[in-house]
Amino acid sequence: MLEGEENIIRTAQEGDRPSFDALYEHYLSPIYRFIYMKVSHREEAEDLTHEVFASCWQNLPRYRSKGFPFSSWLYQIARNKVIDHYRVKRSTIPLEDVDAELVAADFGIERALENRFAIEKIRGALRTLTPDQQDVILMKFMEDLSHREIAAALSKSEGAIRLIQHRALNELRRLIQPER
Amino acid sequence: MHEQELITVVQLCRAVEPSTDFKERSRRLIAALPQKRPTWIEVVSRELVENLKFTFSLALASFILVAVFGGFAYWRNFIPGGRFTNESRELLSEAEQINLGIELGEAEYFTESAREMTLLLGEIRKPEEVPVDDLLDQIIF
Repeated sequence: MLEGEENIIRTAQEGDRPSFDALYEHYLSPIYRFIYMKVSHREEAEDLTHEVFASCWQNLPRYRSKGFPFSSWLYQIARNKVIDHYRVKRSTIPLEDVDAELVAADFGIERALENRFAIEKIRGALRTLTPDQQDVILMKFMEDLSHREIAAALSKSEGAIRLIQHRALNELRRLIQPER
Repeated sequence: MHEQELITVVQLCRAVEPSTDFKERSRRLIAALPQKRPTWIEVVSRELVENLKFTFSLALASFILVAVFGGFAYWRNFIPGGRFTNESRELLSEAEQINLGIELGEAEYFTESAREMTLLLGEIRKPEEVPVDDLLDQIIF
Protein backbone atom coordinates (compact mmCIF):
# COMPACT_ATOMS: atom_id res chain seq x y z
CA MET A 1 0.00 0.00 0.00
CA LEU A 2 1.21 3.47 -0.89
CA GLU A 3 2.02 5.83 1.97
CA GLY A 4 -0.80 8.33 2.46
CA GLU A 5 -2.80 6.47 -0.15
CA GLU A 6 -6.19 7.68 1.03
CA ASN A 7 -5.22 11.32 0.50
CA ILE A 8 -3.58 10.56 -2.83
CA ILE A 9 -6.74 8.81 -4.00
CA ARG A 10 -8.92 11.71 -2.80
CA THR A 11 -6.88 14.29 -4.73
CA ALA A 12 -6.70 12.03 -7.79
CA GLN A 13 -10.50 11.77 -7.65
CA GLU A 14 -10.62 15.54 -7.90
CA GLY A 15 -8.58 15.32 -11.10
CA ASP A 16 -5.06 15.88 -9.75
CA ARG A 17 -2.64 14.34 -12.30
CA PRO A 18 0.47 14.01 -10.06
CA SER A 19 -1.59 12.07 -7.53
CA PHE A 20 -2.76 9.70 -10.23
CA ASP A 21 0.83 9.39 -11.46
CA ALA A 22 1.85 8.27 -7.98
CA LEU A 23 -0.82 5.57 -8.04
CA TYR A 24 0.16 4.61 -11.59
CA GLU A 25 3.85 4.26 -10.66
CA HIS A 26 3.05 2.16 -7.63
CA TYR A 27 0.55 -0.23 -9.16
CA LEU A 28 1.64 -0.50 -12.79
CA SER A 29 4.12 -3.36 -12.35
CA PRO A 30 1.94 -5.66 -10.22
CA ILE A 31 -1.06 -5.16 -12.49
CA TYR A 32 1.06 -5.68 -15.61
CA ARG A 33 2.55 -8.89 -14.16
CA PHE A 34 -0.88 -10.13 -13.15
CA ILE A 35 -2.18 -9.63 -16.69
CA TYR A 36 1.00 -10.83 -18.39
CA MET A 37 0.80 -14.20 -16.62
CA LYS A 38 -2.74 -14.68 -17.87
CA VAL A 39 -2.42 -13.72 -21.54
CA SER A 40 -0.24 -15.10 -24.27
CA HIS A 41 1.59 -12.05 -25.65
CA ARG A 42 3.44 -9.10 -24.18
CA GLU A 43 1.53 -6.72 -26.46
CA GLU A 44 -1.76 -8.04 -25.18
CA ALA A 45 -0.58 -7.58 -21.61
CA GLU A 46 0.42 -4.00 -22.40
CA ASP A 47 -2.87 -3.17 -24.08
CA LEU A 48 -4.90 -4.61 -21.24
CA THR A 49 -2.77 -2.91 -18.61
CA HIS A 50 -3.27 0.40 -20.39
CA GLU A 51 -7.02 -0.21 -20.48
CA VAL A 52 -7.03 -0.97 -16.75
CA PHE A 53 -5.34 2.31 -15.84
CA ALA A 54 -7.37 4.31 -18.35
CA SER A 55 -10.53 2.90 -16.82
CA CYS A 56 -9.16 3.57 -13.35
CA TRP A 57 -8.47 7.23 -14.18
CA GLN A 58 -11.84 7.77 -15.81
CA ASN A 59 -13.87 6.09 -13.09
CA LEU A 60 -11.83 7.29 -10.13
CA PRO A 61 -14.38 9.96 -9.11
CA ARG A 62 -16.93 7.15 -8.70
CA TYR A 63 -14.59 5.00 -6.61
CA ARG A 64 -15.48 4.38 -2.96
CA SER A 65 -13.15 2.39 -0.73
CA LYS A 66 -15.82 0.45 1.25
CA GLY A 67 -13.06 -0.66 3.63
CA PHE A 68 -11.06 -2.56 1.03
CA PRO A 69 -7.66 -1.54 -0.31
CA PHE A 70 -7.39 0.35 -3.58
CA SER A 71 -5.39 -2.54 -5.08
CA SER A 72 -8.45 -4.81 -4.78
CA TRP A 73 -10.38 -2.44 -7.03
CA LEU A 74 -7.56 -2.37 -9.57
CA TYR A 75 -7.26 -6.16 -9.60
CA GLN A 76 -11.01 -6.37 -10.07
CA ILE A 77 -10.77 -4.13 -13.15
CA ALA A 78 -7.78 -6.12 -14.45
CA ARG A 79 -9.58 -9.39 -13.95
CA ASN A 80 -12.65 -8.16 -15.82
CA LYS A 81 -10.49 -6.86 -18.68
CA VAL A 82 -8.81 -10.26 -19.04
CA ILE A 83 -12.18 -12.02 -18.98
CA ASP A 84 -13.52 -9.64 -21.66
CA HIS A 85 -10.34 -10.17 -23.67
CA TYR A 86 -10.82 -13.94 -23.72
CA ARG A 87 -14.51 -13.58 -24.40
CA VAL A 88 -13.76 -11.64 -27.58
CA LYS A 89 -10.69 -13.55 -28.66
CA ARG A 90 -9.99 -17.13 -27.73
CA SER A 91 -6.21 -17.23 -27.58
CA THR A 92 -4.09 -20.28 -28.15
CA ILE A 93 -1.53 -21.15 -25.55
CA PRO A 94 1.88 -21.08 -27.15
CA LEU A 95 4.93 -21.14 -24.95
CA GLU A 96 6.33 -18.05 -26.61
CA ASP A 97 9.48 -16.43 -25.34
CA VAL A 98 9.57 -13.80 -22.70
CA ASP A 99 11.51 -10.72 -23.71
CA ALA A 100 15.01 -11.07 -22.42
CA GLU A 101 15.14 -7.55 -21.01
CA LEU A 102 12.12 -8.28 -18.85
CA VAL A 103 13.95 -10.77 -16.71
CA ALA A 104 17.59 -10.05 -17.35
CA ALA A 105 17.76 -6.76 -15.52
CA ASP A 106 19.15 -8.04 -12.24
CA PHE A 107 20.63 -11.36 -13.31
CA GLY A 108 23.46 -12.74 -15.42
CA ILE A 109 22.60 -14.26 -18.81
CA GLU A 110 22.70 -17.83 -17.50
CA ARG A 111 20.52 -16.97 -14.55
CA ALA A 112 18.20 -14.96 -16.78
CA LEU A 113 17.77 -17.96 -19.09
CA GLU A 114 17.00 -20.16 -16.11
CA ASN A 115 14.45 -17.67 -14.91
CA ARG A 116 12.94 -17.36 -18.36
CA PHE A 117 12.52 -21.09 -18.46
CA ALA A 118 11.01 -21.18 -14.96
CA ILE A 119 8.64 -18.32 -15.74
CA GLU A 120 7.50 -19.96 -18.95
CA LYS A 121 6.96 -23.23 -17.16
CA ILE A 122 4.87 -21.52 -14.52
CA ARG A 123 2.92 -19.56 -17.14
CA GLY A 124 2.16 -22.75 -19.03
CA ALA A 125 1.06 -24.53 -15.87
CA LEU A 126 -0.95 -21.55 -14.64
CA ARG A 127 -2.99 -21.40 -17.82
CA THR A 128 -4.28 -24.91 -17.21
CA LEU A 129 -5.74 -23.80 -13.87
CA THR A 130 -9.20 -22.28 -13.54
CA PRO A 131 -9.31 -18.45 -13.76
CA ASP A 132 -9.98 -18.18 -10.01
CA GLN A 133 -7.06 -20.46 -9.19
CA GLN A 134 -4.78 -18.42 -11.46
CA ASP A 135 -5.88 -15.19 -9.80
CA VAL A 136 -5.35 -16.50 -6.29
CA ILE A 137 -1.88 -17.92 -7.02
CA LEU A 138 -0.74 -14.73 -8.76
CA MET A 139 -2.15 -12.35 -6.17
CA LYS A 140 -1.00 -14.38 -3.19
CA PHE A 141 2.46 -15.54 -4.17
CA MET A 142 3.54 -13.11 -6.85
CA GLU A 143 2.12 -9.93 -5.32
CA ASP A 144 1.92 -10.93 -1.63
CA LEU A 145 -1.67 -9.77 -1.27
CA SER A 146 -3.48 -10.83 1.88
CA HIS A 147 -6.39 -13.26 1.74
CA ARG A 148 -8.68 -10.36 2.65
CA GLU A 149 -7.48 -8.28 -0.31
CA ILE A 150 -7.81 -11.23 -2.68
CA ALA A 151 -11.28 -11.98 -1.33
CA ALA A 152 -12.31 -8.38 -1.99
CA ALA A 153 -10.88 -8.42 -5.52
CA LEU A 154 -12.55 -11.70 -6.43
CA SER A 155 -15.79 -11.02 -4.50
CA LYS A 156 -15.43 -14.22 -2.50
CA SER A 157 -15.04 -15.10 1.16
CA GLU A 158 -11.61 -15.54 2.71
CA GLY A 159 -12.40 -19.19 3.40
CA ALA A 160 -13.17 -19.75 -0.28
CA ILE A 161 -9.87 -18.09 -1.22
CA ARG A 162 -7.92 -20.41 1.11
CA LEU A 163 -9.65 -23.42 -0.42
CA ILE A 164 -8.94 -22.25 -3.98
CA GLN A 165 -5.30 -21.61 -3.02
CA HIS A 166 -4.93 -25.10 -1.57
CA ARG A 167 -6.41 -26.73 -4.65
CA ALA A 168 -4.37 -24.55 -7.01
CA LEU A 169 -1.10 -25.36 -5.27
CA ASN A 170 -1.85 -29.08 -5.41
CA GLU A 171 -2.69 -28.80 -9.09
CA LEU A 172 0.44 -26.78 -9.85
CA ARG A 173 2.59 -29.25 -7.96
CA ARG A 174 1.09 -32.09 -9.97
CA LEU A 175 1.69 -30.21 -13.24
CA ILE A 176 5.24 -29.15 -12.55
CA GLN A 177 6.66 -32.16 -10.73
CA PRO A 178 6.87 -34.73 -13.57
CA GLU A 179 9.01 -32.41 -15.62
CA ARG A 180 11.72 -32.13 -12.97
CA MET B 1 8.14 -30.54 -5.14
CA HIS B 2 7.53 -28.96 -1.77
CA GLU B 3 5.03 -26.15 -1.39
CA GLN B 4 7.72 -23.63 -0.47
CA GLU B 5 9.77 -24.60 -3.51
CA LEU B 6 6.74 -24.11 -5.73
CA ILE B 7 6.03 -20.73 -4.20
CA THR B 8 9.65 -19.69 -4.81
CA VAL B 9 9.28 -20.60 -8.47
CA VAL B 10 6.07 -18.53 -8.71
CA GLN B 11 7.86 -15.64 -7.01
CA LEU B 12 10.46 -15.67 -9.80
CA CYS B 13 7.75 -14.11 -11.94
CA ARG B 14 8.22 -10.90 -9.96
CA ALA B 15 11.11 -10.22 -12.31
CA VAL B 16 8.58 -9.48 -15.07
CA GLU B 17 8.32 -5.71 -15.54
CA PRO B 18 6.65 -3.53 -18.17
CA SER B 19 9.01 -1.75 -20.55
CA THR B 20 9.83 1.90 -19.85
CA ASP B 21 8.61 2.81 -23.32
CA PHE B 22 5.18 1.32 -22.66
CA LYS B 23 5.03 2.94 -19.24
CA GLU B 24 5.52 6.44 -20.61
CA ARG B 25 3.36 5.96 -23.68
CA SER B 26 0.45 4.65 -21.63
CA ARG B 27 0.79 7.44 -19.06
CA ARG B 28 0.66 10.10 -21.80
CA LEU B 29 -2.42 8.55 -23.38
CA ILE B 30 -4.22 8.32 -20.06
CA ALA B 31 -3.39 11.95 -19.24
CA ALA B 32 -5.29 12.98 -22.37
CA LEU B 33 -8.48 11.25 -21.20
CA PRO B 34 -11.20 13.14 -19.34
CA GLN B 35 -12.49 11.87 -16.01
CA LYS B 36 -16.10 10.72 -15.81
CA ARG B 37 -17.78 12.79 -13.10
CA PRO B 38 -20.79 11.17 -11.44
CA THR B 39 -24.10 12.89 -12.27
CA TRP B 40 -26.32 14.20 -9.46
CA ILE B 41 -28.72 11.33 -10.10
CA GLU B 42 -25.91 8.86 -9.48
CA VAL B 43 -24.90 10.66 -6.29
CA VAL B 44 -28.46 10.80 -4.97
CA SER B 45 -29.24 7.20 -5.91
CA ARG B 46 -26.02 6.01 -4.30
CA GLU B 47 -26.90 7.82 -1.06
CA LEU B 48 -30.40 6.42 -1.23
CA VAL B 49 -29.13 2.89 -1.72
CA GLU B 50 -26.72 3.30 1.22
CA ASN B 51 -29.55 4.54 3.46
CA LEU B 52 -31.85 1.78 2.31
CA LYS B 53 -29.16 -0.78 2.99
CA PHE B 54 -28.84 0.50 6.55
CA THR B 55 -32.59 0.56 7.12
CA PHE B 56 -33.02 -2.86 5.61
CA SER B 57 -30.25 -4.38 7.71
CA LEU B 58 -31.78 -2.85 10.84
CA ALA B 59 -35.21 -4.23 9.94
CA LEU B 60 -33.74 -7.62 9.16
CA ALA B 61 -31.88 -7.71 12.48
CA SER B 62 -35.09 -6.86 14.36
CA PHE B 63 -37.03 -9.49 12.45
CA ILE B 64 -34.39 -12.11 13.20
CA LEU B 65 -34.49 -11.23 16.90
CA VAL B 66 -38.27 -11.51 17.02
CA ALA B 67 -38.18 -14.73 15.02
CA VAL B 68 -35.52 -16.26 17.25
CA PHE B 69 -37.19 -15.42 20.56
CA GLY B 70 -40.71 -16.02 19.27
CA GLY B 71 -39.64 -19.28 17.70
CA PHE B 72 -37.93 -20.35 20.88
CA ALA B 73 -41.06 -19.71 22.93
CA TYR B 74 -43.16 -21.59 20.38
CA TRP B 75 -40.89 -24.60 20.04
CA ARG B 76 -40.59 -24.88 23.79
CA ASN B 77 -44.10 -26.38 23.66
CA PHE B 78 -42.82 -29.31 21.65
CA ILE B 79 -39.34 -30.05 22.89
CA PRO B 80 -39.00 -32.83 25.52
CA GLY B 81 -38.65 -31.27 28.94
CA GLY B 82 -40.36 -28.16 27.66
CA ARG B 83 -43.04 -26.45 29.66
CA PHE B 84 -46.04 -27.92 27.87
CA THR B 85 -45.46 -31.59 27.16
CA ASN B 86 -48.53 -33.81 27.20
CA GLU B 87 -47.63 -35.18 30.59
CA SER B 88 -47.07 -31.79 32.11
CA ARG B 89 -50.29 -30.53 30.57
CA GLU B 90 -52.22 -33.28 32.34
CA LEU B 91 -50.50 -32.50 35.59
CA LEU B 92 -51.24 -28.85 35.20
CA SER B 93 -54.94 -29.39 34.52
CA GLU B 94 -55.12 -31.84 37.43
CA ALA B 95 -53.51 -29.30 39.70
CA GLU B 96 -55.94 -26.66 38.55
CA GLN B 97 -58.87 -28.96 39.27
CA ILE B 98 -57.54 -29.73 42.76
CA ASN B 99 -57.16 -26.09 43.56
CA LEU B 100 -60.67 -25.41 42.34
CA GLY B 101 -62.02 -28.28 44.52
CA ILE B 102 -60.29 -26.89 47.57
CA GLU B 103 -61.64 -23.45 46.92
CA LEU B 104 -65.21 -24.72 46.45
CA GLY B 105 -64.91 -26.92 49.56
CA GLU B 106 -63.69 -23.99 51.58
CA ALA B 107 -66.53 -21.83 50.35
CA GLU B 108 -69.04 -24.53 51.26
CA TYR B 109 -67.47 -24.95 54.68
CA PHE B 110 -67.56 -21.24 55.38
CA THR B 111 -71.22 -21.04 54.38
CA GLU B 112 -72.13 -23.97 56.63
CA SER B 113 -70.10 -22.77 59.57
CA ALA B 114 -71.46 -19.25 59.24
CA ARG B 115 -75.00 -20.56 59.39
CA GLU B 116 -74.20 -22.70 62.44
CA MET B 117 -72.48 -19.81 64.13
CA THR B 118 -75.51 -17.59 63.63
CA LEU B 119 -77.78 -20.18 65.18
CA LEU B 120 -75.45 -20.69 68.12
CA LEU B 121 -75.13 -17.01 68.74
CA GLY B 122 -78.88 -16.73 68.60
CA GLU B 123 -79.24 -19.40 71.20
CA ILE B 124 -76.59 -17.90 73.41
CA ARG B 125 -78.18 -14.49 73.15
CA LYS B 126 -81.77 -15.75 74.10
CA PRO B 127 -81.34 -16.17 77.89
CA GLU B 128 -79.59 -12.91 78.11
CA GLU B 129 -82.51 -11.15 76.53
CA VAL B 130 -84.12 -10.44 79.95
CA PRO B 131 -85.08 -6.81 80.16
CA VAL B 132 -82.70 -4.71 82.21
CA ASP B 133 -85.54 -3.26 84.31
CA ASP B 134 -86.58 -6.74 85.48
CA LEU B 135 -83.07 -7.56 86.50
CA LEU B 136 -82.79 -4.33 88.44
CA ASP B 137 -86.07 -5.11 90.15
CA GLN B 138 -84.72 -8.52 91.17
CA ILE B 139 -81.61 -7.00 92.65
CA ILE B 140 -83.34 -4.18 94.47
CA PHE B 141 -86.26 -6.07 95.81
